[in-house]
Amino acid sequence: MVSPRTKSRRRRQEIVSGYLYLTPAVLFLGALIIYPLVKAVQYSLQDWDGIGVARWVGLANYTRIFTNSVERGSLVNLAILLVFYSLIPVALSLVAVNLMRRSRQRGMGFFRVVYFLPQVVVTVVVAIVWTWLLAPSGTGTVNALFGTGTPWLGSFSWALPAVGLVASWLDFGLAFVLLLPGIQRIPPEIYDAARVDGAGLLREFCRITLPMLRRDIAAAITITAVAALQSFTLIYQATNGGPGYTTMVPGLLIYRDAFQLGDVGSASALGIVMTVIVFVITFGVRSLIERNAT
Amino acid sequence: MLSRTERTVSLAVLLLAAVVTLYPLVALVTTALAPAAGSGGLSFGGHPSASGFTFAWRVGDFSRYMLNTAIVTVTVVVVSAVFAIMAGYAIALARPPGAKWVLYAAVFGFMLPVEALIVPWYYQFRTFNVVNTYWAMILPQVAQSIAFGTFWMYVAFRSVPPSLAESARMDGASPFALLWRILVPNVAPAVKTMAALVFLWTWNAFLLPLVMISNSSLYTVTVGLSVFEGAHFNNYSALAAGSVLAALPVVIVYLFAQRSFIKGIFAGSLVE
Repeated sequence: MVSPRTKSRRRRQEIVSGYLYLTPAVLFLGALIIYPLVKAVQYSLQDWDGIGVARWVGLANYTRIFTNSVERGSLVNLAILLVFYSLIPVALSLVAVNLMRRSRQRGMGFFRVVYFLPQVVVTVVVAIVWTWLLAPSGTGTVNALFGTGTPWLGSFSWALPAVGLVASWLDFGLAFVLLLPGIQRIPPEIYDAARVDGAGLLREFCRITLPMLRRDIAAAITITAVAALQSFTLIYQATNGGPGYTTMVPGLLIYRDAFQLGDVGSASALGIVMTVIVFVITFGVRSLIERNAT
Repeated sequence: MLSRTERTVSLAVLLLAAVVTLYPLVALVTTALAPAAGSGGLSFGGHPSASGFTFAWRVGDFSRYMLNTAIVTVTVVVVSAVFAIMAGYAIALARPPGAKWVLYAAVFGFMLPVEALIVPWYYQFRTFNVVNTYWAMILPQVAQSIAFGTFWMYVAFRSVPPSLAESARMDGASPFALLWRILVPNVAPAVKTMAALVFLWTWNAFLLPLVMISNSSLYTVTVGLSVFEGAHFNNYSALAAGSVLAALPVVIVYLFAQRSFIKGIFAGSLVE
């Protein structure tokens, strides 16, 4: 038997070692996550060029986000990109996992490995190869394959959807992998029963697949949507926000404002807005799903 | 039963998606193997040549970029893994009063976009004169990886049966031995997944080194590639070769540990 005394001594030892083990994480999180976030909020309320004296301006940087056409435009572009980063890949991968389930396709491991591959390719590389594929002309380009001659990334009307297409290519595998385990969890008997009742493809999808995958779809939408906020690398390398401001996104604007134009306040305000968007997406999608569940 | 036609059609659709996914990557590799500064444009087939790779490696300085990225990435993976294991264990099993708050801070930190922190990071580091050093890339990346890893390891340690720790304590194991000799081997798959993801994120990082580093001898491979693209945008084979070099380490790790990678992406859904 262990005496109560040894036990409490052990517990004390455990508490001390617990605090010791937490120390590095607390220091890193405090100094490089929490403190900078507080600083970002502070900058966002100031007019500062990064060198001189900062001046308090209240919420002016925030109101400008919604009045200045470039900043507001970047948020509109972000909203459009959300469709390409999130909704299209999730819709396409829903089709793909369904095909896989219905036909009980073999070689599932192969498809999973292949579809997910773009996710592990360095984003700058993705941007470079797609810049080539979307060039106005040349062997093996999209234009050559379809017999068109559109300068996709240089066109005011096509640049944003073209970048969006790359985003869909990137995130399809992510959505696929997020939905696959969910559909495998649904017992095949449920589908067999529906088929006996004469349910067609569409009814089967709406009555069984969609409701049973609700949570998985919500997770997939959230994760891919958050990825859309991190579009900086792809946009910087593929179009640098152009032509004009047609593909400008908040991330790129932050970089430009803070490090090229010396407008630290605006950049920080936009960063805070992006943070809020992340939280709204994460908790918004979740509460939507929870509400519909009851 | 499904008709043969339906089965064939679904297979065709799935294969088409695979082709669309692979085509850009295959085009990249075949272009990288074309003779340097040759045609201009994507290249398919022909005699494979290593000249694109030699150009990127020597003239493009990719040897240095790869080394820099390796130094930063390995440091971040090792340091953040050790600290995240420690913190995850403390929150899940040692449970000193108040430990839960560290968990909340970690989950919160994991959700913050780099774009929101990059500005204060830069000015913080400028004050301490660490801009243009490896530290400027390592420290923020370690912090973000700890934010993810603490949460990830907390979940892993929580699933360890309490009897395991209890019996080890009975045998007189010190807290140190308990954690590193008994518990960590028990959650090895979670550690592997964490390491794989942190490796991917750090190797792929772009905004952070772009902002922190102006000295070209410290460029990581992502920034180096981007700058190289600006200077040699017409040299398709060298650019493609540089791209292949930049992408290869993560792709290799992925092919060997794809299960670990794929398990990790569910972390985002766990947060919810």
